[in-house]
Amino acid sequence: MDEHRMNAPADSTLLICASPRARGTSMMLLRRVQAVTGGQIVFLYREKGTHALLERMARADTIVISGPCYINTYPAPVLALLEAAALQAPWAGQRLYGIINGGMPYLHTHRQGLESLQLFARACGLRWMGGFVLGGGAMLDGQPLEKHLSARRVVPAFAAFAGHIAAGRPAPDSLYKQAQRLPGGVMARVFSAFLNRMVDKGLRRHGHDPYGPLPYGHQ
Amino acid sequence: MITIISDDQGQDIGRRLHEAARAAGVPCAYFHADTMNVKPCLGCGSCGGKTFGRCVQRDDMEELLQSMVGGRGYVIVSPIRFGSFSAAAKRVQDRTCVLGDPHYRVRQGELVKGSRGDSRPFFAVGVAGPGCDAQEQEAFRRLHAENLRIMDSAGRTFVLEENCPQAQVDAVVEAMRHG
Repeated sequence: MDEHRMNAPADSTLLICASPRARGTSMMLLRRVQAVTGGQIVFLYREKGTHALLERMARADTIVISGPCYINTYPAPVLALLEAAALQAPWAGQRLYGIINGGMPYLHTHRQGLESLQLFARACGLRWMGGFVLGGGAMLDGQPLEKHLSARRVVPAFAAFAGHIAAGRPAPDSLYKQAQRLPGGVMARVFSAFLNRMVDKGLRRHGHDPYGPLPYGHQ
Repeated sequence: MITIISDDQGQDIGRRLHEAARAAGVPCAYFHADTMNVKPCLGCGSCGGKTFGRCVQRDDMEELLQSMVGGRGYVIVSPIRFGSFSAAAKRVQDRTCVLGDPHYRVRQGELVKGSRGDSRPFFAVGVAGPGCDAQEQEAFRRLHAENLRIMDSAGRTFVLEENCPQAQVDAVVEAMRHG
């Protein structure tokens, strides 16, 4: 790890946290990358406009975007950043990595976010270097990666991913694909029943009927 | 009624779709995603807990959500940006999670979520501008397919070019009409 840190000057890596939550899983993952690569973390949701952030992106050699998965891809502010960045194309070949995490354990649920970053890089003159998809990430709620249900596989895979960033190498998809164990159909039903009991319990604690009508309009 | 949500920046398909739907007698409500005052989702989880089914933010989403809940389906019309919806369209889409069912279901052996109340078909119209190649269009189709899967919803994906023949717009109307 120290070798990787030496290879990457501290100010050449820009780490963008693209979650509205400052202490969520996206930030936790970014801090793990930072521990290997150095560099500064910028909190996208606290930026006033995109001008200053785009300037920092232009000065960086390596950009890492870490965000949650909202309906199968990154949240809207990431797309707003990409749209603004596209207006400044062509970029100078900065290395771009992505990290996306979501609640569902399936990689295909979240993978589209990385594909958007890849297409952005291709269109705007950055170098797409790969990404990491973390299913089951929302359950962590910012807790250490060691608490993940597949921690034994995910922790070393993510460490290897961070190592690739530090070394400026492409990160293969196989890292995250091999890291996570997906529940089969029977386990999915068991999880579903368990999680639904938790959902009902939580909603009733707040005084809601879990199966009541929607508050908006009439059904 | 069908709710049309369109990011009209640089594309005219949303307006053409609205006109075609009205001409075909399909009741519609039209929302301009690019000019609506819609704040980004805070990811606070309140809509799935403390304020179940209701967003803590007060902005133009209120009217849109009323329309969606009362309607028979909705369409998002958006320029394709890097294989995704545009930022303006995605900002609205992110906030529709308030209509989601927090319960899990199993479909084809996988966990999915769904919508509360009657299932609403969700159509996506991606507008392919200059430079939007087949790879980007395919990524958009895959994204919407995943949307339908996770939301356990019916719907269809359309990719239209900006100056496409009217027949292609009419095909979207037909799909909306039949749900």
